[in-house]
Amino acid sequence: MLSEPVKQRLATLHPEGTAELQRINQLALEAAEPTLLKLCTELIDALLQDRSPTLPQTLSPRDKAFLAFTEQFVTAVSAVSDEQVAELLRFATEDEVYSFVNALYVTDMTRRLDLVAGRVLI
Amino acid sequence: MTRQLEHETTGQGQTERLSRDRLTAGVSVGGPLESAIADFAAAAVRAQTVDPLISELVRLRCAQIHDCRLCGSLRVREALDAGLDEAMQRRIASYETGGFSPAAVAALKLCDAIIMRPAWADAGLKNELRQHFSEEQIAELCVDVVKWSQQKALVALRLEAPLADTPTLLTFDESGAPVFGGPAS
Repeated sequence: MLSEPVKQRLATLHPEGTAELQRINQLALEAAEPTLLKLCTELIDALLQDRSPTLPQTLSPRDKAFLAFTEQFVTAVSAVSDEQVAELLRFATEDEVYSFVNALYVTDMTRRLDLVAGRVLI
Repeated sequence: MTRQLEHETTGQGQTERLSRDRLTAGVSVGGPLESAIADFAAAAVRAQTVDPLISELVRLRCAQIHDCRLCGSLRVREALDAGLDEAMQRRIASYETGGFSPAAVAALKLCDAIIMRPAWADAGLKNELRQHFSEEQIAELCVDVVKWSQQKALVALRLEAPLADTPTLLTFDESGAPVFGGPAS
């Protein structure tokens, strides 16, 4: 989700795009398993803000697979490997992986937009 | 281990990583989220306050950084009409010395800040953008970059094969939905 100041600014400057962006962010929360998406969102925030993520001390193999995928997706999507996707498919169906990756796109790019628009438009 | 290859392909196979046959229409493919993403994309496309050539340079920069084979193979008709050619497309990789207008360079720097490193969005970039664009145009460019990064999901799954071996024309209908058709040259 966009932070409130950025949301308000963008809603003034690009109302239609901002409304649709808010809508896909809401749907992204429903498209992936909430605990997993929250975990991955913390990693995204940390990567984009050059800080260490605050993650649980104990992570399941499933959590680790999705976090590894998320880190590569955020850092350089072109370098996601066949093996990283295969690892996701050990723990989730094709539909779940497809929906998760779309939710990750929405979360990643919205966080990026929030950081940059907060600096160039406010 | 995370690989940080931003400008080159990995040498990894580019075969599809999910079986399309095992995706359920209306659940994942064409499901609520994907349909809403298409609505967002159309809303982004309908905003047209930015010069179409600059918009296309930004779109192609996103394609290049994300290594999206489909996006990289498309050319928007309005940009071709405004002077885009294949030599220009190749210069995007080194756009700061590529002979582009100062406005185009500022837009591409904004694009890089969003898709590569948000910390690059500093007071200098803000000033540079405001020399060339209104606030509405900067907002449009920001939303465009989010829209043109939609393919990150398909790139991660390698479901973004190009439609043809040569550049393909991309236009949009009145609603902002993409229409693919014919060679771009």
